[in-house]
Amino acid sequence: MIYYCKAGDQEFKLELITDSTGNTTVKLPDGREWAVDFTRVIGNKHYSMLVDNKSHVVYMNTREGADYQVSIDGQPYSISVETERQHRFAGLTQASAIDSGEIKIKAPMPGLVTIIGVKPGDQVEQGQRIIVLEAMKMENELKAPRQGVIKEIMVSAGQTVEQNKVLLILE
Amino acid sequence: MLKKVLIANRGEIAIRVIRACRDLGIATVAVFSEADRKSLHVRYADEAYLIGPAPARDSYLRIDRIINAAKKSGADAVHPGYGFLSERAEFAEACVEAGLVFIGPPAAAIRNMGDKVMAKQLARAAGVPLVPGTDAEAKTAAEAKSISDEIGYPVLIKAAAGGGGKGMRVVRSSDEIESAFGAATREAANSFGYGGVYIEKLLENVKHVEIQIIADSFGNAIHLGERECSMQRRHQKMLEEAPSMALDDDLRRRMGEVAVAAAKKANYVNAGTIEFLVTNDKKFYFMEMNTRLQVEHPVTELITGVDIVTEQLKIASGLPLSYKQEDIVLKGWAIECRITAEDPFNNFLPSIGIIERNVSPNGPGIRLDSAVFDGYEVSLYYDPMISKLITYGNDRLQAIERMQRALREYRLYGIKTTIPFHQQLLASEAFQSGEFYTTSLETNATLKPNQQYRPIEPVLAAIAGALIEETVQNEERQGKGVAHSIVNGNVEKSGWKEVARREVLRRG
Repeated sequence: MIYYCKAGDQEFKLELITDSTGNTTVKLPDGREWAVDFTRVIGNKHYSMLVDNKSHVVYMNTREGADYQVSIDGQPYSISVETERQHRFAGLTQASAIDSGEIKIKAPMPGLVTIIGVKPGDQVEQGQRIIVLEAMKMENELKAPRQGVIKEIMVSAGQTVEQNKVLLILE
Repeated sequence: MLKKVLIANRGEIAIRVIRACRDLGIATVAVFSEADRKSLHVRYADEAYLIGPAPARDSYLRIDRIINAAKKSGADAVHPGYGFLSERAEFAEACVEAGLVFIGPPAAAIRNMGDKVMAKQLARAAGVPLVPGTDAEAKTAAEAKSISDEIGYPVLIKAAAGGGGKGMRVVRSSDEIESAFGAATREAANSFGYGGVYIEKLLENVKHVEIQIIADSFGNAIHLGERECSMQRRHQKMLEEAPSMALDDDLRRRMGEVAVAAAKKANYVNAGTIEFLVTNDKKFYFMEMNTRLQVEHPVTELITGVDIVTEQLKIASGLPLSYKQEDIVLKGWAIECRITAEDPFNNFLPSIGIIERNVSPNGPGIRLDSAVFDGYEVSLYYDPMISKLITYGNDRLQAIERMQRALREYRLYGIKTTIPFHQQLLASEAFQSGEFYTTSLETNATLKPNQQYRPIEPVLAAIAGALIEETVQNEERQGKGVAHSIVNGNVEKSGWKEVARREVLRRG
């Protein structure tokens, strides 16, 4: 099978070939290849990976569609994996994405909204403090990622929010 | 000797105290919030009492409920740990009024030394050099501004109560004062129940070095050498070591003597720590005294051989110190990493969730003080520190090498932790050479969390991704049904529609 894998800011086209004896080889278009041995350790997330007999431990934290959050030897990594078919399809859809110019400011963690420093219609500068979120007893200031106008505020001070909750919209 | 001790705390420190009690044959009582029913400290203790809902102000900060639990259990003493009520004089008083021994200094000493403004006055009286600043608290933002304008920027706004970087802000210009003052007073009020702050000049290129002291109720006091705590982020210590490269024998002796003198001046009893700032030209200034057990006490234990918590329990039992100053000989080197549930590559945002798998490091020279286990939930209610990893070596190099080994073995799957950042720190030129200061984590570019610092080649990650995908697809084909259980949905991902389309393709 052929897979397209993005890791960090690099993309690789990988071919996995398993021969009749069960030995697997990974090949890159540039001619590099490795003998791999991949096995589950415990449960369905924990793997041991031998690449040319070099030992690595792989743990898959989450998978969202093609996006994998994994830990390799304890280092976190985001990887996106597509089959050849998915890769072709993704190429078609990406071109149609439209940038509306709006930015949704989301809660980067669950917490308590303690201060909202703006109101709808306010003009804000890049880096201006817009919301203070308290979690684990620390105040975390959320700042405007760019200048703009506050279009809508979805939360109020004193409200507890989940991670990724849209707090306000900047346009 | 004490018979039964209630531990008014949670997490790794509650377990640390339980272990010391058990070594001495003392029975243990845990208290817990509704969020901590399954916690290790509840399971390790001989008895456990529910003291309220998850928020600390309704449970671990409720003096009345903790005293009730102590009475109900028949405990004869209370150990406060660190944080929470450990530096609240009224808690020590409430214990004594209820006929319980408070394992710590007398309330008056907490009040004198715990309140940093009063502590400064006392230290000055004992002849200890002080950082320029005012003794009085700044009551309003305007007052804070006029004080700061006078001493000159940069200044530090610090909570009069508590520590650990909460209620603390660095201010570099007068227009930042108002927002910093507001944030510091609110944080202080939320964390310690008291919002008072004071202001002092920020010294730059200094090291944070602290002296551990212990004193008994017969007027004996000794010091156990120093700890180097300069590796701090937002005034939160990330890594500590003992001894400190900044001190030589002469400076160590002088700082130790001053620390012991200050403790005696405050009629101090039990374990305490005097924090100093040390400059490159070997001048030192009193910062504050912590009237409790410190998070980083293990590094001192490893290089002195003194079990500090055991000493605390003996002192509280009315016994004299087990050691004289000349018995204390520093041997070898120890390093501690505070492992927190924060994502170093995303501005240290708290990482909340279930620790699916906890793989602990082991082997020579390793100590792990941890409270987590497979299935442990990191919640937003408490401090993000989940464990302390401590290594010991015959010298600094061996301690560093062992820490690097231990960090490599240590895995906490399911959440983000500071382990990769600690690996970066341990490998850095700045840490290895000792050329680092209290501000280095904020100012030295090579000490910023860097995802490029990783021994893993991207192609290796890509291979792992392809192999996982192929394994999952093979199993789906064989109808094992494992594959679906690993799809962890997350909310509000922008590419959802696209993902759904891909899922359809995959099935087809």
